[in-house]
Amino acid sequence: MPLLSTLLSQDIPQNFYKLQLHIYSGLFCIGLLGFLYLSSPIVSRRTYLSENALSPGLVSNDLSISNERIRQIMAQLRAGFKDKNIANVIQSMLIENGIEAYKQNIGINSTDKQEENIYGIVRAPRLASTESIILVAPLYVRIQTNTQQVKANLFGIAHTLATGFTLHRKPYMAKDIILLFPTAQENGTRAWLDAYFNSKPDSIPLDAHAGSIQAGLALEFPHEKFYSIDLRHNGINGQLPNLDLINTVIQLCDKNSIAASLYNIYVDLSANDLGYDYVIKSTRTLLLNVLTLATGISDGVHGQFLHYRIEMITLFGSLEKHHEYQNSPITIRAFDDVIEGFIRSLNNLLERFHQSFFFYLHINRRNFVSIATYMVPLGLIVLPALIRSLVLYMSFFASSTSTPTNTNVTHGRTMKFHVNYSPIFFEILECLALSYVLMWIPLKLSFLGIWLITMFLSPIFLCPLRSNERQFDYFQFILLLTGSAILGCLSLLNYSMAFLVACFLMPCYLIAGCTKFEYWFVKIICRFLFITFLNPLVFLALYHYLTRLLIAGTLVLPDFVQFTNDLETYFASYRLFNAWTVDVICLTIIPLWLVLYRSTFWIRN
Amino acid sequence: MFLRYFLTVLLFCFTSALDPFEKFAESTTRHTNNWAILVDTSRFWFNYRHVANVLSIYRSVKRLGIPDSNIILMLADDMACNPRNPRPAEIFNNVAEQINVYGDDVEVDYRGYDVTVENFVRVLTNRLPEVTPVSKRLLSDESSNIFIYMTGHGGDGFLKFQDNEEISAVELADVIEQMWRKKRYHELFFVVDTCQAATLFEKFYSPNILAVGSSKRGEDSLSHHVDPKIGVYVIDRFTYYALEFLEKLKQDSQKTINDFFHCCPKHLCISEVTWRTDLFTKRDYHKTLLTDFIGNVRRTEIVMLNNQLLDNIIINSTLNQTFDKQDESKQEFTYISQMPILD
Repeated sequence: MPLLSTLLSQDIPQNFYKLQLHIYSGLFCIGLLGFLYLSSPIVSRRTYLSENALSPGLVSNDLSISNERIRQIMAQLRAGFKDKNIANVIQSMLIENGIEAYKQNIGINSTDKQEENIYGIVRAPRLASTESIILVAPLYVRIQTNTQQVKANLFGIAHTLATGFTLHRKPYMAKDIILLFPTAQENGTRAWLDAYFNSKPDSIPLDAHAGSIQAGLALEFPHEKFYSIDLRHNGINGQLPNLDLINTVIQLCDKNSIAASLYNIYVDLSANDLGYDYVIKSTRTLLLNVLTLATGISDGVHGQFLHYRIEMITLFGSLEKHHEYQNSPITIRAFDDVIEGFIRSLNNLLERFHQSFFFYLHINRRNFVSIATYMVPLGLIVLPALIRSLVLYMSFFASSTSTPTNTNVTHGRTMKFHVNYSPIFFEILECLALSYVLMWIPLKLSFLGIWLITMFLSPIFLCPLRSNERQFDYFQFILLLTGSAILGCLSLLNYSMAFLVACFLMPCYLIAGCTKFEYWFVKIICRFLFITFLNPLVFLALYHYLTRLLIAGTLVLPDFVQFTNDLETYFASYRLFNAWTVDVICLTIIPLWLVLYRSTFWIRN
Repeated sequence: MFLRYFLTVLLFCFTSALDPFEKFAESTTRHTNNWAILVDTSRFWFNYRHVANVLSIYRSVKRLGIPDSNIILMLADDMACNPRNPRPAEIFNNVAEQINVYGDDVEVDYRGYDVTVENFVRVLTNRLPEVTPVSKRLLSDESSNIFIYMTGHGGDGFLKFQDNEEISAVELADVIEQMWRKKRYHELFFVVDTCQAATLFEKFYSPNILAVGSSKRGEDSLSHHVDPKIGVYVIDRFTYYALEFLEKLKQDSQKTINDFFHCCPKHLCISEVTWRTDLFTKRDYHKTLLTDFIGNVRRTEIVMLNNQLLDNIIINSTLNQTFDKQDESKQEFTYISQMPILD
């Protein structure tokens, strides 16, 4: 096996050169198909609990929260919401029941009203506050159908309060319970967390702290009667809670016959053979998992807590009926059993969640693939880039026996041509500067459109470098390595985003490389493809449409207005979540794409 | 001269037949005291059943006669006062929750982080610091029968102590050999209730050892049942059925070691109870009483005074009491109950 440093282009079999295009596109397609194949039972695994101490459902239920009590609490809460002094109402209810309660001011909102978070701490009776768990019930939650509208989270707050009241002074609670009622969803939660952990230099510390927070649950129930629970576990920037936490909740829900859906998709696992239904739903769950994680924002307040590595998921009361023949809503008893079982399971733990997976993709609520499995399709998709760069590398060097005319000695190897580095450097700098503009302009669709058209016309006013084939190859080689490195780093941080970016970039590389062909219409076609299909906005639109299709489950028509609204909402709010998606794309992927587009203009006949 | 020699031999033979010492010599091949070492090696709340195992065996051992001074009890964690215990200060070994095995008369000798491999080995070989009190020492001699019971999490050839160290089967065999060389036991009965228990005693090579484990190599020992009000498994299978067997024992019971070996057949224990008797050569284990190990030997002399037992009368020193040998009548002798435990 010859060393890498002595490989020459004559070592590659000639057949390979003829079949290069086929091999690369073949690997790319196999990678994509392999990703879809992850949902098969041969590749995916059944979920299991790694932490034996959890034992969900082993202890019988001890709390009995009566319907009358819940109704009482909800009546008080309703009055509080109507009179707009919900913070005082909750605080007085907590203090009446002997639980320490505090308020935190987080500023003035748009209607000139003081925004306040309320939190109470139920202390462990027999232990110093070494560990704690947290129950979060935001004051207002977004409803399912329209994410712009918010409703008061009466059910969630009432049940959090009732659970806190009954667990107060129980002798078996070994951890503190923090009951948090944040206002303004993510804003309020973020302010509370920053103050609790004192992570911002100008944040005012909170009045009281509990033990080190290990895990928790967020309850979002806009409707008082709901038919299933939607588990939301997407964190910020692709973070996910520990799989043990989700498995505990799912086990408890199954025990109480509550339909627990992921992304509003519920797969019926009672049948032994896989039907068409199972395959479709599992693929939908898998794809939605990746597509929603790629945005880097979370679909509930739990994302903020995951940022501080407090394992948490959001339980959302959904109106979808998933069980066959289900006519009645979920009973309060069943729901309270789930919450109580969850708290008792967490109570058994001594350490944070550390046994189970942190990187996984769900197929359905009982099957998943871990990082070891789902990295392989991404590897297959990026492999063409690495092979191509190796092939190009080998073609640069002349063998020592041949008598070259135009050689360049570089560290022991003689290159066949002289490389002009400064145009390459300037080209990259220009593209970086052009993309950096995106960080400054307000990200609305109209501005983005203008920017994009400017980019398409950039080869006219910003002259791209004229190069021969050799220079072009060398530049491609550098770009391929850069792209692979960026994708590699990204895959470790946010796999889903890396996957989508790879699906976008690999065709770009292919088309850019195709401009080497001699025929003039190939170059025109390549440039045309870049302008129409391979540009970021179109890719975003396709991505948005695909996500809508998968969420709906049926065929929906593309809606441009919806796309515009969603995009602008996303750009306006992504900073709130500490997400770096847009920044990374603007600074690394867009320059890369721009250079690839401009490279179609380099080789002139 | 020959006659003198012949008479000496005859005299020797007669005295050896009638020698009162002979009977005593024979009786010194029996044990004179009993010791018990009961070890629980696991920590954490969900290992509640191991502590309940040991305390139940402790209860049986004490009921059958071994006093606290001869029992070394090691508990690695405090379940009774664990903040997760919904019944504080109480440990139950059954879902019926009728017996609190952590009652008033439980004396724990080694607790918490003191239960380590080093302390266990030091106790067995008596290489403890001088300041160690007598209650923490195993003061056995060459005529002691020792009963060792260990429970916790084990594996192939080791037993895990406290989640951060292990004792291996080879090490344990060497420790027992040290005990034999130091003449610290007469006979040893070794009971283990862990996963792959039989691998822990397969390396023993000292004489006079009987050993039984709740499972063989590659098998897990299973727990018996859960107490839903506490939320943990409360007893292991082998110990549960061993306790059923031991609860029926009385101090004068004639049940043998072989009966104890068969107390948990495979359909009850699910794992295969494995035992080892090849080192126990002097006697037949089919005929060895279980109370040789788990009971207590007490050679008591009952002194009669006016045909009445001594502790039933008040001695008045001004009275002149004489006892008449002829007034001795046949009496029924029974063991006095050693301590006021309700049976």
